[in-house]
Amino acid sequence: MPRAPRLRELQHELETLLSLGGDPDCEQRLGRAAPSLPIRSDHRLDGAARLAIYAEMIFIRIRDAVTEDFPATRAAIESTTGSDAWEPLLRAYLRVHPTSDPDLRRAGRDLPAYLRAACTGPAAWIGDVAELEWALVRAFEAADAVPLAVADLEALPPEDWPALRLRAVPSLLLLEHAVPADTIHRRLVDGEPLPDPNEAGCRLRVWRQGFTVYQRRIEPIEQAALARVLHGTDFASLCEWLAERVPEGEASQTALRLLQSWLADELLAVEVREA
Amino acid sequence: MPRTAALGIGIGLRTRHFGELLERRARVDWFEAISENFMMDGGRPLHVLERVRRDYPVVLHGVSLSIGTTDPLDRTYLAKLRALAARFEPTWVSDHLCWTGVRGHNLHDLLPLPWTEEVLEHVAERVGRVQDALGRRLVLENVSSYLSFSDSTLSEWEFLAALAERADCDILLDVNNVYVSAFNHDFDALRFIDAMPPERVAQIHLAGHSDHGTHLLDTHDAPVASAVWDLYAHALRRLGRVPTLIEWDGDVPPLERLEAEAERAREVFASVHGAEAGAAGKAHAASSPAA
Ligand SMILES: [Fe+2]
Repeated sequence: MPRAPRLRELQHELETLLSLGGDPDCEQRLGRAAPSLPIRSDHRLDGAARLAIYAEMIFIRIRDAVTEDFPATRAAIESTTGSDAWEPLLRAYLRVHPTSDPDLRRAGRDLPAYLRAACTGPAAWIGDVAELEWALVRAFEAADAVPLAVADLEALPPEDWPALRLRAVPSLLLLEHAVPADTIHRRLVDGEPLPDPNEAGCRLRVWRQGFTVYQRRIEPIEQAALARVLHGTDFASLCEWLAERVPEGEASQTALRLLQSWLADELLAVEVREA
Repeated sequence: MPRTAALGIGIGLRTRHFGELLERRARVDWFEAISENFMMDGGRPLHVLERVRRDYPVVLHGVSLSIGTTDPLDRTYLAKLRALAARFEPTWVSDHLCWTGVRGHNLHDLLPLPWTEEVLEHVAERVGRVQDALGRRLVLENVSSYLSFSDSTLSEWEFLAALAERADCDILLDVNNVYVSAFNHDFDALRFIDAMPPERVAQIHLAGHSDHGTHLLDTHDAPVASAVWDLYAHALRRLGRVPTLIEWDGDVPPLERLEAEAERAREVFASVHGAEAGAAGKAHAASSPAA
């Protein structure tokens, strides 16, 4: 049983009204609702006007937070749908995905999924761009890890290599796009013309090195290998798995090449053993 | 002053100043970090807060506790806040006397409550449970508001003072918020300040607002208004050597600009109490924590 039933009812009603900011009919709806609410009016502002101050601020605050994380997505929407299309799109998004996280910066977390569903056909690539942008945000604040260094491996006796656990840093994310999402993203940010939409898709890894977030295109074999690392594997199993996929005799060479690039990019983490 | 050390004059920890704060000592005594901005798993902000914490006292200031909502307490949020406090050992943890959403939604605004006995009971009970969950006293701030409820039976200051007493929590008195709300709801700001129990006011906030003719907006994007400086001096005379913090969130200016604003607070503090407010200037005139 709620301890404050009247407060509960009031909050439900207010929450609905204050979520209307940015809607074309916001003012009208607040005007209709305000007279029945216990809100004080004075000669300067009536109840509806006072509600409107909040509704507008709430929408602007959330809009600005999402916009900051999705500059390329915004440019994509504006270039395909119209220069004033971003705000209505966010309104529609927030109707389906009201913010719930205590952290305002996560207000945009469902935008990629929303755009995947909303932008179909020739506009489907917009969902890819949003997905990439959100991956960059996630990598920025992923957990820290001590990267595995070349020296760590050099110190490893040869007999320990097969059992070496390969563990990805927590920031590593793998993306796969049917469009060249990385090129599109960069061109949108730089305000340059978009590439041919029929250009081949891409596989990307996104990760953080120190405090800087990176993205890089990778080959299918690297993507599949990293997926195994994310799942949890050891060096011997990875080599075995590679042996079935690369031309005969190239498995250890490929494994070494991948390992070198992962170490250089700090994609692998030192395994933390529980004391 | 309540059970907190005399910290002096601080400023909010903002992303714009991260780089500079790693390079040099700021001319302020302490920092206030927005709790939610550091509720992530890793990365640069946490690294910066760790470095800042090594050199200054820090308090955690939340915006999403939603102490006045009728939703159940958000246990996940409280666990994160508790972990953050365990890691950074803030001098205290604060949030706002407001609600921010209901039905699991968060509007990311500090919404006002009706000031009634029923609501007082509701909030006091929740403060008690939050203090239990955090294992520490909570400090609650008065917010700026743009609407008030016709069924309120108490004034905001009566409510806040009664809540602090009933729930055994402390008060963060935002002098700018008092000024803004006094204008918006046509009450006397001095009455609000004079009703604050000195032994419970742990901290003061100062910030800038903007004038929209029909109402003032608490925008935190401007210098502290001169009328608010006057109210601040009055609050210090009445409440004692209360640690004070300058908030600036919109169009955040360079660090030097905030240091200058903190310096001004230091001057007002000295003019009232005749001594240095904290350590940033000269010798640390800190008083020991009260009982
Ligand atoms: Fe404040």
